[in-house]
Amino acid sequence: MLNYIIRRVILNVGVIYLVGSLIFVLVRLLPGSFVIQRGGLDIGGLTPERLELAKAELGLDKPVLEQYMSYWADLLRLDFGFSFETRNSVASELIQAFPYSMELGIGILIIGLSISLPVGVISAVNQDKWQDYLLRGFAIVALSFPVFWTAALVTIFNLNLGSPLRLEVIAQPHMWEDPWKALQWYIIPATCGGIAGTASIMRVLRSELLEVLRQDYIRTARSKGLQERTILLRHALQNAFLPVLTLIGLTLASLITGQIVLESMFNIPGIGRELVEAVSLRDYSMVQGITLMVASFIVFTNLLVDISYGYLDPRVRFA
Amino acid sequence: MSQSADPLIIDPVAETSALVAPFRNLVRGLGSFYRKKPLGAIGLTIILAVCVLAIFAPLFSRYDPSFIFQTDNPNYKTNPSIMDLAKDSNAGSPIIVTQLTDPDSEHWFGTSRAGHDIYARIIYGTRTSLMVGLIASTIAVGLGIVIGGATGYYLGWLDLLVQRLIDTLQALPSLVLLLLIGQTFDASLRNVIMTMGVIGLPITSRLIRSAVLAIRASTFVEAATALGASDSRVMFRHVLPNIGSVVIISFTIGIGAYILFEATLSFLGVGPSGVISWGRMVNEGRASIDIHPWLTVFSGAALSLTVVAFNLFGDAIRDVLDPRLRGS
Repeated sequence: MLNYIIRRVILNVGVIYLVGSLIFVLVRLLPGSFVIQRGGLDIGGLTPERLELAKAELGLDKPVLEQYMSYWADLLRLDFGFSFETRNSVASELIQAFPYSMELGIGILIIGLSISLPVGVISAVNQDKWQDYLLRGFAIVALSFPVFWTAALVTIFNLNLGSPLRLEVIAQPHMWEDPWKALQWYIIPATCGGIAGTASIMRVLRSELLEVLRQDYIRTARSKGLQERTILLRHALQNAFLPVLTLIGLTLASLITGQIVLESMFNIPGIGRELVEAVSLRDYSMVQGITLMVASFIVFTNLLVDISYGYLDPRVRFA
Repeated sequence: MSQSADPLIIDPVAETSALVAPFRNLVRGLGSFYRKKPLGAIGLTIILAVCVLAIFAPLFSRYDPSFIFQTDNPNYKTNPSIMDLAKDSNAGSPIIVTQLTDPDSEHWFGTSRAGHDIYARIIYGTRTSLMVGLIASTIAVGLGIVIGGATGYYLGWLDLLVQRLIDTLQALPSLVLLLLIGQTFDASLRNVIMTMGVIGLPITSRLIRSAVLAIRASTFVEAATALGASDSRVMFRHVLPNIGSVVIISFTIGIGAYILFEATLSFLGVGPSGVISWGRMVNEGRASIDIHPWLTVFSGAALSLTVVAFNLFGDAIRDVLDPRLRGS
């Protein structure tokens, strides 16, 4: 077990190294640079001398190989550099943006799970009855409707009905600062995202549950005269839940690391919106920092999910 | 098909049925598909309708999608005073762009801010969506067959190396990759489709790799190898035909996903440039959504309907082809 974890961690570090190097090269392939994108806005325009000066200030005048070396040297000390735009350290920018993405992500997950778990169970228990068809149809619709469209439709209704839910909150409150206002702010994007995310979880839960319900030990439980409810909750659901857990883990990783569409539609200053801004400004260290953070999050959540498998399912052996 | 007793006597009935058999099988197969999978059949019908709309777009669209409609200006004054111009900046021009009109008999879905007929643009949008879905999914599956097939068959260091590269590709947020590539190279339809295909590669190559692994371990491959079949013979004669269902499933399910992906990109403003895209139309409509929701509503509805159709069809195909789920 320990062996397995160590090997996986080493592999993951390798993957993160590759991601870091790839993104380093990719951002530098972008046409234009931060100095050019931004410099034109300064008084007096962009003279060659000022261009050189600005480049030197950002460390962009050095040869690329030297930049690459110092990039990794800094990363090893967990120094992500500073944002070209705000001149704050990338880490502090991310710490500021991350809670917004996390709140939205957790909201999406809560709403998604509270729809998809009951729906999946009901659909499996009533296999091939009208409830099943109805709920599966709902899942396909939820999977197919683009989240930006449903969000736009909700905006139309919200405008026309004059509901108390405010979409343009300038204060951008956190959940722990002003729960009521934050809830009003997050509820629409979280609901849109949650509905969009239900389909995959519901479908996996349904097919796993169907598989489990056909097993011999379920028949044994029925012949013992157990209540259908007990069979479902204690015998079947526990075993059907494992793949669902994997899916939840993977969804969680991508959720709390930023929802680009929802964040830019609802003006939420999270990681996703920061990323779009950083790319368009050619803010190299921000793009690198965000990408590395998201990638490590995804890679290590995968590892956690795999390890938790071993504890939850005794049949899983780590080779 | 009737079997004639003497092989030298050619049975005329058998002869003709051999000619029409493939066609008849197709019709019969479609018939039973429509009976057994009504939802998948609905999906297939919508897909076919969308294909017809895309191919014969000029016949259905009523107008040229890039034509700017203009009308006489009701408030036109030959010599407008400054006060008139302050009230209506168009007062000096005899004709104005027919913009943001509600749906009527002339413009079924209304007109956009630029004066385009929304209905015509939605009809032409089918072309972009179908092209993106079909080509990107073909690229992803094609690359997946090559990479997943090679790594699953040979394993060893090649597999280890390629799997790590694929992990890397998957750990990179796909939108980062698209944002970067869309801005590095020009965001032409071709470049965006190719990038999307590469982004889908981790999923398809993993699926195909595990399918190849399973077939490689089966006894008929062992038998073929024992009989001295070469690697390429085993691969093309034994492995490839048996991963057909995985390939078809990931191809059909991929189409809807790529259509949605392209729309999301266009919505964010990093989609393919120079084409009519439903995703971009949804975004354009948001600017005046309070007075004129029609652009957003109709283009999003067209997009959603198409994706629903592909997902319904893909689901039905999976039920039919995946033996694990057969009968459930």
